[in-house]
Amino acid sequence: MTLGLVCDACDTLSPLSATLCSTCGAALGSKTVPGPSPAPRSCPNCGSEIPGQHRFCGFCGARSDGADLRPVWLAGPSTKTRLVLVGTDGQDSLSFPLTDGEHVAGRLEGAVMFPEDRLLSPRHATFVLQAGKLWVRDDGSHNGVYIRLRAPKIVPSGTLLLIGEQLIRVESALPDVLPYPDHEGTYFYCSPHRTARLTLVQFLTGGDVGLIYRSRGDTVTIGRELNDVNFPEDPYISGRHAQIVALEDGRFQITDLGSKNGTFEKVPKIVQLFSGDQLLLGQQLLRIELG
Amino acid sequence: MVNCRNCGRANPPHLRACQYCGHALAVESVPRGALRGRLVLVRPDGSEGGAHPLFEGANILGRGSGPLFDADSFLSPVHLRCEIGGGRFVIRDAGSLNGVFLKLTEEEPLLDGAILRIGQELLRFDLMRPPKLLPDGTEVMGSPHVGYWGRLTMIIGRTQDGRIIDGTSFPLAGEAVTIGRERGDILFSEDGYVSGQHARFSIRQGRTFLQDLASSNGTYLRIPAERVVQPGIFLLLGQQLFRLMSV
Repeated sequence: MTLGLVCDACDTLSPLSATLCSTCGAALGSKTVPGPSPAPRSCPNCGSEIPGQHRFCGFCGARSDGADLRPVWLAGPSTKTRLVLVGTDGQDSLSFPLTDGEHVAGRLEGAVMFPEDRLLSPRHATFVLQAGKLWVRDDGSHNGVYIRLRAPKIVPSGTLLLIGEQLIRVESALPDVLPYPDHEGTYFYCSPHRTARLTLVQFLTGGDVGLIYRSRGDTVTIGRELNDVNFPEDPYISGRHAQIVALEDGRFQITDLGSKNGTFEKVPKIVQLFSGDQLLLGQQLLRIELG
Repeated sequence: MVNCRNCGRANPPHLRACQYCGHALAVESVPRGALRGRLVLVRPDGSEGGAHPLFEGANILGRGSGPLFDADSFLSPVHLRCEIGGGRFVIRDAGSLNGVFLKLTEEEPLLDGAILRIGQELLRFDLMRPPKLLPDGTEVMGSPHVGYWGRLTMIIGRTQDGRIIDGTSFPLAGEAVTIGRERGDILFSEDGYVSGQHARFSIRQGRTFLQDLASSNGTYLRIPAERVVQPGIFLLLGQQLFRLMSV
């Protein structure tokens, strides 16, 4: 759990040493609220008093501005199925109890809302709990939903992986184009012919392609050092992190090599979840607990 | 119809090359002025081979222009146009498939989409821009964008419909990125024609540059359209290197 100062004006968390809010610039820690402040209300969920300018209940976390009155977290123990938010320190922080039905997650919508996470689409995904079974559905989000591999997995060409901070697409290498003359009988000059078995494409923040790596062999290891592909600057990647093997049928076997932070695969449109699964939505790491 | 000078068969007049043998069809006969220069073949060992005369006015060269050019299947039938007038030499790519490459002698501005040849490699430079948010305020997720300003991509082929096939690609960050066979930030360890340390890409005040680092075989930049050159420069045409000399 991070300690900091919550801005009275916009609820952004700023470092303890800050004197001005990093988002809206309002003074922190000062009680000189300009103009009349809205009257306090009582929380629709737990009944605690909420200062007028706050959007969320400080005791139970329910939204208090009338937009969505469902309790958000730390609700009653009526259900054991929940999403547990894992903090950057690896400790559990918030938990989102799930009842039967649909639970929307996003930056601006839903009960599972993270207003500060710009990697989330306004409406990102929906958790569907039905008869004790849980699914997550990607609601057409831009950045998708990623699930941590719990065992080696065979995936098709084009699968996106998150390894440390790296977003990497695994692709079959294009079939070799043999030299041929154009309509004037001229041959195209290009770099020498080097057959590849698999291609890794790194995507950068903002969507640009970064590194493209073509492997001549069937097996590629990825990590911080001494692998085929290394990201020495990535603090979240393990020394030997993941292995990718090109199979004869054009698919790939992905194996996490016991990394600290795991290897994540982008889930297709909808996937069933099981206890202990870990999901990444934007920057939020969520652990699934099924009751 | 136009008869091919090589095989003698008739071709429609709009063709630039014989549809039967690929030989260049007669290019418009340019009235010849005085001899002004020579294009001298530079052999792989550095010695000079044959020379092709250049005259005042427009000189159009390609596969079929003479014994120096006929055997190079990487030359287009109409490849290079060299205009000489008033002591000025202007080099122009005459719509060739593989381009006209100029050997770098000093640091050269590098534009978006520039094509270069280093050793046996054909490379493209693309400018990269800082990441932007989507219209709905979402940030596009990806590996950390550590201020990359360019990307160097190996060109490994061309499909029948003319699409370029990209191979290995390297993002460029920092003030300067050095490439070479053994030393540098990006290594072409499989290419024996790349020098240990070969060339440097750099950025200053938002402008990008390419400089050859005294490599054995040189760094070559494709001329986008045309360029005024000085006698003494080296041109890479197809598989062969030439030196432009004045007379």
